[in-house]
Amino acid sequence: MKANTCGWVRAPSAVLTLLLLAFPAAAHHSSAMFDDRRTVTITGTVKTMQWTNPHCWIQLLVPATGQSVEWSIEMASPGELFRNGWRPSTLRPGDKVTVTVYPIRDGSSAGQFISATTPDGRAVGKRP
Amino acid sequence: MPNRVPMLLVFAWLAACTHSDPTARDRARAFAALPNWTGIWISDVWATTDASGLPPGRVAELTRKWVLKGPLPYNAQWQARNEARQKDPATAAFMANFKVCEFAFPMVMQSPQTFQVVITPEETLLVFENQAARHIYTDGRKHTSPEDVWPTRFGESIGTWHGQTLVVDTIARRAGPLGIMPVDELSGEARFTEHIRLVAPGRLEDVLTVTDPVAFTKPWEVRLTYSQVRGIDRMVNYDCDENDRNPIVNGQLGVANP
Repeated sequence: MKANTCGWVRAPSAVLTLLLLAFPAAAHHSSAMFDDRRTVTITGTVKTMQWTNPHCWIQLLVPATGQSVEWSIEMASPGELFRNGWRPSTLRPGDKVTVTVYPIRDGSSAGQFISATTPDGRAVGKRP
Repeated sequence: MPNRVPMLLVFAWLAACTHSDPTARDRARAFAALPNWTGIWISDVWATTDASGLPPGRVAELTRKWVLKGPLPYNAQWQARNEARQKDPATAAFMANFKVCEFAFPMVMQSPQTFQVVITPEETLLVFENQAARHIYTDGRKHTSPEDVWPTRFGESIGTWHGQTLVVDTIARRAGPLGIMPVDELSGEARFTEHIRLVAPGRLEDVLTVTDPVAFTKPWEVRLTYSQVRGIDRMVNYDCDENDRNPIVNGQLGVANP
C-alpha cells in the first residue's frame, strides 16, 4: 500500500515537472535555463540598455578584482516593459544600479531580471 | 456665386443618393448592432507579467492559471500514445530548450501575445502583436468544401453573432499539440466551437469546446478569459528576429553575448 502511494505521488510529479519546464519566458523560450530557486544581486554601471525584441537586455559592468565583468540581464519584451512602467530611457549608459536576477544555470555572467534599484534605494520601473 | 449653384445641387444629389443607398444603410445598421471590443487584450494567464516576462508567482502562477492542458478525453489508443509522448526523454529535452515565436490555434488564445479585436459586419479579426491574425468570417459564408480546404496553423473560422456573443466554428486546424509541448495532441479532424463575449467592462470570455472524432470520446470544454491591457495605448509589434540572443547550441538554450 505504501509503495503504491509513493508511486501515485511520483507520477503526477513527473507530469508537473514537464508542465513547469514548458512555460515560455517572455513569450519566447523555455524558462528552464534560469535557476529560479536562487537569486544573485549585482551592483554595477549600465553599459547599454537594449530596448529590443524579443527581449530587452541590461548590459551591466560589475566591478570584479581589478577589472569589471559584463553581465547580460534578460528582461521581458519592450511592450511588456512599457506596460510595467519602463521606458526606453529608464536606464541610460553610466547609470549606477543594483539588479537582482535568477542566474543562468551554465554559470556564465547572465541572468533573468527580477528587480532593480537605484543607489538611493528607489525601485526602477514601476507598473503604472 | 450663382455659378456654384449647379455644383452644389450635384453634391446634394450625390449625398442624397449615398444616404438612400439601401446597402450602405443596412451595413451601417449592422455595424451599429455589433459590440465594441476596442482596446488591447491579454490572456489572464499573462495579465500580471512583470519586467521579467513572468507573473509575480512565476511558473507556479502560470501552472495554476493555465487551462489549455490535459487531461484530454482521449480514447484508449490516443491515451496510450499521449502517455508514451510524456515519458519520451525527447519531450523533456524539447521542453527545457524550446523557443517559440508563432502559436497555433488554440494556443494562440492563451499565449502571451496581446491582441486587438476588429469587428466589422463581414469579419472579426483578432490581430496579435506578433503580426499574426485570426480571420473569423461573419458574412454568412459556409466553410470551404472538404475537397478544397487544407490544414493550417489557425484553421478556417466562420462566425455568427448571437446577440452580443460571437460563435466561432473552426475546422482544418493542422494536427498537432494543443499547446507548445509535444504532448496533448489533436487530430486533423478536431473541430472547435467558441463563444466569445464581453462579460464585464474590460473583461472578455471565450468558452472553447473541442470535439475530435478521431482522438476523443467526448467533447472537451475550457473557459479562457482576457483583460484589457493597461499602461500602453497602442499595439507595439513583437519581433522574434530583431535581437534574438538566445541561441540553441548542441540542443541547449543559452544567452549570447551582445
